[in-house]
Amino acid sequence: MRWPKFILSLLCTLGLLALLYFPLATPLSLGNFFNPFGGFWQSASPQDDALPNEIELEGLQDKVQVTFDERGVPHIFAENLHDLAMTQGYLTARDRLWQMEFQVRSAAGRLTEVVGRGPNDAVLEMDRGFRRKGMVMAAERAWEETQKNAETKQALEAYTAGVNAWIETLEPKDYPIEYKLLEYAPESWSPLKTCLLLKYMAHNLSFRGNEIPETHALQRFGREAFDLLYPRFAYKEDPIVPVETQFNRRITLPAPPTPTNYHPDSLFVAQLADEPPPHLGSNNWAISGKKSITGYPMLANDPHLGLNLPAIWYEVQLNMPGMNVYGVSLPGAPGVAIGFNEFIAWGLTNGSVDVIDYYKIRFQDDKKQAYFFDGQWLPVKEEIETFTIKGEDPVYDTLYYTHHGPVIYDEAFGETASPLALKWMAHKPSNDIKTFLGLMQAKNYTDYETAISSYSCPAQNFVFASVAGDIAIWQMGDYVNRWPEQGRFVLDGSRKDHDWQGEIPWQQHPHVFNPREGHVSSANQHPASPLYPYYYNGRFATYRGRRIKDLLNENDSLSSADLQAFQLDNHNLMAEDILPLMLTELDSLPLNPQQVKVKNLLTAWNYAYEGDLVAPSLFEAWWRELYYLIWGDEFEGAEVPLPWPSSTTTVGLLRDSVEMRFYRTPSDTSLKTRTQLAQRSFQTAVDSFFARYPNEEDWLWQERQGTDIRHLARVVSSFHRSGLPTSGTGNALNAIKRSHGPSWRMVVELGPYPKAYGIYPGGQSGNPGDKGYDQFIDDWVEGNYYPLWLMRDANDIRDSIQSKVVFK
Amino acid sequence: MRFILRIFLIAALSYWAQLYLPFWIAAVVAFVISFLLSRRPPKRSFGRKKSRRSFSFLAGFLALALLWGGLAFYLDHENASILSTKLSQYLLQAQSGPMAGPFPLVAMTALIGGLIGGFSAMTGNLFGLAVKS
Repeated sequence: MRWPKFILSLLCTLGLLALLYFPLATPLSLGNFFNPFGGFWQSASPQDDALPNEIELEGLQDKVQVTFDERGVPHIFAENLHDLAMTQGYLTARDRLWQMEFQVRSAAGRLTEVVGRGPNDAVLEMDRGFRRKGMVMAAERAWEETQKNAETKQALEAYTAGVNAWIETLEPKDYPIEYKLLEYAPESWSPLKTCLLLKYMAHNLSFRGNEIPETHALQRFGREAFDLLYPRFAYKEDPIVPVETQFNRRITLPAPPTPTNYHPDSLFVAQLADEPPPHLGSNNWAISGKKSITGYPMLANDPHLGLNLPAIWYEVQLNMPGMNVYGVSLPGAPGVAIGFNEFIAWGLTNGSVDVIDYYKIRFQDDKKQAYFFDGQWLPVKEEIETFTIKGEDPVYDTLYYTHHGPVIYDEAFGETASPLALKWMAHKPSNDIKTFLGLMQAKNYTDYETAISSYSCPAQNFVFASVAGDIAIWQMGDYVNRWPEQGRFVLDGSRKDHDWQGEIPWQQHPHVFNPREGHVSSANQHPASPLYPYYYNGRFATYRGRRIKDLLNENDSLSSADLQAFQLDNHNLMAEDILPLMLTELDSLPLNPQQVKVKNLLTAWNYAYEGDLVAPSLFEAWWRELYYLIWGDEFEGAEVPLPWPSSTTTVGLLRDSVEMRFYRTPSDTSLKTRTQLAQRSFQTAVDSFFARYPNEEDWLWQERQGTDIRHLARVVSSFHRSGLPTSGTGNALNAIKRSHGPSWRMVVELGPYPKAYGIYPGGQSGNPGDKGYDQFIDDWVEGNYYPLWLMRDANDIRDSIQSKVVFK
Repeated sequence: MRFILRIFLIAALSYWAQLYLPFWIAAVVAFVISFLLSRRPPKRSFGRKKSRRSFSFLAGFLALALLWGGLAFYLDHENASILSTKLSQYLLQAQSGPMAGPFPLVAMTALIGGLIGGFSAMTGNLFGLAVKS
């Protein structure tokens, strides 16, 4: 009699357990997730979470001493490079393991394994894009090259061992919360993954295939209009190398001959692969002792990147005999990328020169086993890529490799009329870790020059200052020696004279050393004037570079506080260049009271993008309206991707021309002149602004732009820090935008002992359940800096030491 | 007394077993303890028999609800509710108030633990009764 009751009860229990164990009604296993012994509660790290005082780390050659300061920055003191890299790997993994792995997964085109296809296959298409860009091939080549140098090989292998030693200490309950939410486990690290991370950065900073949209534009508008819309040198360029610099006597390598009868012909690529957002920019500069209040050089750098949590940077001090360096590292790579030691400081901005070319490929037939090149059929290497998809069957994609590189666009990807192969400098075997190991140990200008001379990709402006009084900047990275306009448009992959033919010797890259002005700087602008003897192209910024030079020319006796203020400068030169003209155009327009108010507000404005001002919101609304009125009819909804003319070019055209072909709008013949455009856009912008934002608090710039720093996985919205009340704009030195901006602000005063200040929008811990996760963000919004503590030795004391750990 | 002993035994053994094994081991523990401690109901009244079964459910429920809820509460306290607040905001879409704090997640954890313990203990008890009858 009792058995049926038992069986009923058993079935209920098993049903309950199944419901909790399998992700049936819920996206994840509720039992595992809520289990306080293993689920998310275990990721709620205690407030006083610290490593034990002594850790046994197998493989160390000697003792390593680590001090954590009050902000969670590890100061690592080792006896040799091996132990230093290993401990750095261990500690970085402790704080940032999930991020390290996720970024590298993304680079390898393997995100579908852990997050699925995504809405509208967005994740799958992104993965396919990364595979077709040859990311893994690039990383494999880099690792091969890295192993040829004993020091870099050791650094990568030791770092890897450290990361894996940390992973081995983890049980599933210790996994970072993201693994629990997405239900997967960490993979072991490898030197190849470090190389993948570097290629991921190369992608972020150099993967901009302007030639496809520009080839479309050339076909559509013709050459004359094309040059007007996309001039090589835009309005008021002020290159990194002062314009008056003479280059010609230094040139040793002639450009390859320009091919005859080459006309970039019809092309059609409807859907471009995901590209990193345009206008990622950065500022850096150095001033000599005669400009500084201390008499010693000072250096400032703020790289503007995508702002995410966990942040892209991880602060660290690395010390071994002969080296004592402090700076920010990329979680996943040994060493520091931007920093200073007792003798020198260095910083980076993106080079922005085009290092990507596309080649039109003619396959022999549909089997794609051969392609035509230089009069013969060359074999194609074919590889089938497998995409493992979470919870679904795998998807396959066939990749074809030519001597140019992988075929990125074909009938299976990009809706292209003809297959295009990708040639990208990041595919070239390189050992870029070597550069950074060199910089970390550099003691003077010669060391710095040696370190950067082998640097390959993504091209960077390396700014430098030394305690000996030298300042310098070099644009470094491998550049093709091109015939004029080679690679500006899509190239013919069957012609030998379209191939890359040699590189510009590094000694002839644009650079400045101890200039008379007493300062060097860069902000993603043109590296050199049209006098520079080699051809290059790219997409360059203009306003920040000009602003830095203005500020440094106008001011003397600069202190580190001044340099911090410059980094936080919200002045937008673009507004200064165009707004007075726009306002003048309103003179003949009868205005209603509201419009009068707006006009007066803008007239009184000093072009500062302060978060608590209304004027920047109004100017932006007006400018956007004017910009669309000029270009919308040509570019909006075009069936192929076309490059919208830059705001610099638009400003230049507006200042130069009262009337112009592109002012005309087919749908409205009353719009012909600049005056008519300015007046119409003003009326529309003002009316729609106040209709859309009736509440006064919504008018403030910090409400109209503001900043969202989102968690990398984009899954849990409460892991983001959204709606931050920021000042700044992309064309101001404080280049804060909605999801991009100064990812690290650093100011270094060199001297008998360096003093430095820095901050990044994030925190050392990658754990959303840790107070260190977003610890620095509010100070970053406020524009505060932290003093960076370069410990003299392992026993150096300050009252803010949090804990000490000895590794054996 | 027996009731308290049951709660204590299930909670203590589950705690120990869960340090090494996944969450479902708690169900096994509750089942086994209840089976071992199951007794043929004394032949008194019909009503007592019924309450005995619900007592075993209640014992299992309380044991694991206290264990899970208690541990969650402790971990949350040590963490100053940083994580639980973010997760409640996400899971419950609450921006403020008690629903955006640790309370709903601690309660949910206790409830899930309790249901596992209750049902398993009830089943173990019924199994014992069936075998021993």
